[in-house]
Amino acid sequence: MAAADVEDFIEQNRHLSDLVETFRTISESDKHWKSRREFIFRNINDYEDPHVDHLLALSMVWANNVFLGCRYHPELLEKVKEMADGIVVEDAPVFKTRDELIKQHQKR
Amino acid sequence: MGVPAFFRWLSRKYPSIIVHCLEEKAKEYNGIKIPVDTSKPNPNEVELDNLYLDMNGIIHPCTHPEDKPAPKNEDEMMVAIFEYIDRLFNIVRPRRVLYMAIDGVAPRAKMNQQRSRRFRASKEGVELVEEKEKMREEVIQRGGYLPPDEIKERFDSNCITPGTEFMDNLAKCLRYYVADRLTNDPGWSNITVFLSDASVPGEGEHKIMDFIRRQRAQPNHDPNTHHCLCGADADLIMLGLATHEPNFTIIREEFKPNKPRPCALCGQMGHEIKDCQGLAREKQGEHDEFADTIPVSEQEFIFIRLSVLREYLERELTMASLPFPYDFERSVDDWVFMCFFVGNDFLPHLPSLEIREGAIDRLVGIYKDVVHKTGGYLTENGFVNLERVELIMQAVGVAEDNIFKKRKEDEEGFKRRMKEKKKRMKGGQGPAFVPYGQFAPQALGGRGRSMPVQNARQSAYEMRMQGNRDNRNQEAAQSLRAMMRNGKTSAGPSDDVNSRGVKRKAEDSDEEPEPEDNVRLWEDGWKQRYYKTKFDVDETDDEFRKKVVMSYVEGLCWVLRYYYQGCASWKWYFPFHYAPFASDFKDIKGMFSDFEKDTKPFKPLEQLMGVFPAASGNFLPTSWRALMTDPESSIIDFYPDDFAIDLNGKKYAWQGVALLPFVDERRLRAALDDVYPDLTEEENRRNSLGSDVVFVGKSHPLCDFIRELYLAESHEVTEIPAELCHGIQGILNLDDDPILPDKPVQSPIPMLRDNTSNSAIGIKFKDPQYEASYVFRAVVLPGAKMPNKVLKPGDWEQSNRGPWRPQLGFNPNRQQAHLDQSGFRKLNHHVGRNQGPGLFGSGPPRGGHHGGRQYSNAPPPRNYQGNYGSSQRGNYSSQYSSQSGMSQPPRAANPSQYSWNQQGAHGWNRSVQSQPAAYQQNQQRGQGGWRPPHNQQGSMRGGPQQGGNSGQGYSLPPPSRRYDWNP
Repeated sequence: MAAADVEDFIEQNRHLSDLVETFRTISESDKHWKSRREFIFRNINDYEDPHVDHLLALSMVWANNVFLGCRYHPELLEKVKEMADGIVVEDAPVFKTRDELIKQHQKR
Repeated sequence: MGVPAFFRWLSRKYPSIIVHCLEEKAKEYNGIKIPVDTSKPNPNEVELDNLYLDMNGIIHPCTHPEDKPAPKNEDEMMVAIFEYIDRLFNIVRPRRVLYMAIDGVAPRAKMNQQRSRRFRASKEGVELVEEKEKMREEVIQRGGYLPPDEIKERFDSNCITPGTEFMDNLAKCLRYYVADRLTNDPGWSNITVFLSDASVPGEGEHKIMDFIRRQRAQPNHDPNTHHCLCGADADLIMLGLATHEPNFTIIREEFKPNKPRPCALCGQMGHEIKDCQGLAREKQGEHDEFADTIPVSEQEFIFIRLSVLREYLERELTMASLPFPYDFERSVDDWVFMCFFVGNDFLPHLPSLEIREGAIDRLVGIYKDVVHKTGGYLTENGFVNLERVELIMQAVGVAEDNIFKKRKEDEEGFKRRMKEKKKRMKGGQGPAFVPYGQFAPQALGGRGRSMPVQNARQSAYEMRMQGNRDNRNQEAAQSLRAMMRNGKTSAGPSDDVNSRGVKRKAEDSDEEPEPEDNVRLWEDGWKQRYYKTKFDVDETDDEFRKKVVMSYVEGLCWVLRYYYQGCASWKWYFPFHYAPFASDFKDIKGMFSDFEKDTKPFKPLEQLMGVFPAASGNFLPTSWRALMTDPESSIIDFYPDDFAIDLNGKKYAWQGVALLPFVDERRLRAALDDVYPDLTEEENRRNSLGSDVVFVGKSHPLCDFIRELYLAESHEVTEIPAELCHGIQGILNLDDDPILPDKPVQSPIPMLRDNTSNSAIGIKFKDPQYEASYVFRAVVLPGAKMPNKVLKPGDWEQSNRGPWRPQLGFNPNRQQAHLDQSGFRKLNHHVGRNQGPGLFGSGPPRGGHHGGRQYSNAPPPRNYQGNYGSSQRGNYSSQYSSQSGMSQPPRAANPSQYSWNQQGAHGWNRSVQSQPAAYQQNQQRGQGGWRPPHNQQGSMRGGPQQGGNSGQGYSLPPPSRRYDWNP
């Protein structure tokens, strides 16, 4: 789904996109939110009403991994990466996780 | 405020706020410990009314101490906690109230910090275990010896969180403890004990503040109550100031940086785990009699006198020619507020304000500058005037650029100096080669006659080659070292000769690459880079920047309100990991109106779900735990296995910012709805909100009143009659499982006895209630008497009142330390012992001289002639046993003592010396272990008393003038 497609999708699904807009958290910048919103749009059909929270959790797992540097269980990460396949994040930040820092320090 | 730097800064700038605590130690007689009678006057020469314990500051060091071996099991931990409280009680000796507050569920604003601490602690724990195992294997392979690994579970300090079984058990143990002390300890008989355990929401220190605030606001409160709050957090100082009570003192452990810690592997001191060699333990003392003593002194306590801090602040903040009337109390509130900019538990500090760079002084300077323009104070009763705050922020903002540049300069300067220093140290290793053989330097006029030089070229060549070899060895050693990090190979003879092995570590740390810093605050464009790197937003995104500023403004309002009025909203939190710049605070006036009303705290188990990593899931019910690990969980994103750390200009991981995701409260609650039915009855009880409990002993006037309530079985709420309890008010309600007189209290700890003759009584307690719109006033109450000034008046020199004598303790009229005759005899004896028998026995001029002079200032006791020698021996042995804590049989007569007596007798015939001179001599010689009186309290008192017990002919010394104790 390219950016234009997302816009189309929003136009055609006003009701749904209004709902999804409520999922935005205060700490999310436009850039982060756009990516995560796309993640939600792409997968929302597989997570109907009672499972929306699960989708939100997965979207956060993906966003936390990309924008915050969090690591989760490899299988879980694999799964969300698949779900996010095709979402373009420009200029994603680079992080050092705690484990990497500690290892680096121990090597010295 | 977990900012150690703040306390360091404060105590350096305002040194007189600190008073060392005098602690009376329990005596031991024939192996039986005689507890200290705390109903006796306080040795600190001050009577304190209320003692408040922020219990988490006690629980942590008692359960996983840093400077001694950890307790083996939970029971030992509880006993350690009891002993710690006993110790504090003995020092402070409260006369009215003991308030124990354990952290309950905290406001959401604190959750981010708690999460970050617990996620880190969990990882650190695992790493320590791994390192231990690795090192253990290595050491044993090398043939070292290590004590067998105890089969004990690692204590997960994360269990010190409300809602866990550990905290529940702790509450039970404390009830037992309180009942026991109220029944058996005379010092406790008249005090009212409040216990606010982890089931009552709120952080410990803030529950204490709530109590004080709500007592102050009711008419029966005694405005001259002397409060004493125990805890090490710097924010207690702020909280204490915020009460505006004139008599407020904080007690905490003395801060000693770089305290030695025992190795986690072998338990010995002097090395860290990674240097552990598994060597046999060195014998401690001649017969290993000090094996169990820790070489560091016991942690001592200090008082922080807020009344003195107020004096300092008054000097600093007083402003003349203001456009509005000056009110010191209001300026204190503003000072407290400005300290929040520099760091607090709820907000990240502003990038330009570092306490070590004098941020508070800078703020005060700006404040005094700007206050002329603001037209009033920044805060009132905990409410912020944003318009005025903006002026302060803008003034800081103007300086921001220079602050960052200067910070960089200072850092560079520091690094340069360190490098130069290192170079100097290295350079001091000596010349490239030393002439030897026939060229060796010889002393002038030496006996060896100078010989004609033979074969000079050959000798010079040899010396040169030898020097080269040494250098090459050194180089080789260095490159070898670089290759092998922990290699213990001895690297060439030159290395051994210079014993440079010790320095290795310092060198290595120097070679560490600097953590990269993409923000470069010292270069133009820093603001854009900061927002890009820390928030991942473009410089053009004003909206986002505004959002951060708005949240921060809300945060400032929330924090100040929290300190002055109590928790305004349990839900509010700062939703970013970083603060904005001071210069970003523009048009903040309208950014905040009020907080959401009637918010509720989390339930204990809910909060556990919010702050624990999955690795601590064992503290939660099974189905709850599954939510932390199951990929299908609808909150799985809260629990990353690993997370990024932004060093943010710091060096070590623990100093950096942990980038943990924030908890979505709605999703958390929704997920928990499904698993709530799985809770057992017991878990449901642990998850419910509890109540404070008040306890009194049988001689307390309130005891009969409470007993009547239980007899009447009236489940209606009852107010405490103010006259029964020093004007303390509150609402009582019957406890379901109360502590009642004549009802035995079972000991929850196997090693402690049941309290079968209990005479304490307990009942639920609630702070006085006020309307939601009530505003607690931040003022000094009418009728409050200000304590005497301690600081030297500014005009002292002009006033011609003689030399200024600084006040060291609480009492301005404190008697100066003074030794009486027996004290000097004892001191002398001590000195004699430490010099060893040989010195006095053979009577060298120096020792004999001193011995004589010291004796000369005291006339001989009346019956000296017959008894002196034996009396001294008696004294000596009893003193010895009392000091080393062992009951040893009196030593056989020491031959040296007789000769010493002769020496002494000789001395008495000499000229008379003044006492101070003798005393000073002692100090200068640095022998005999003499320390300032306050450290020696125990033995000073024990000594003469026991000497008297041995029934010798001279009379007892008069009771010490400083305290009211009776031998």
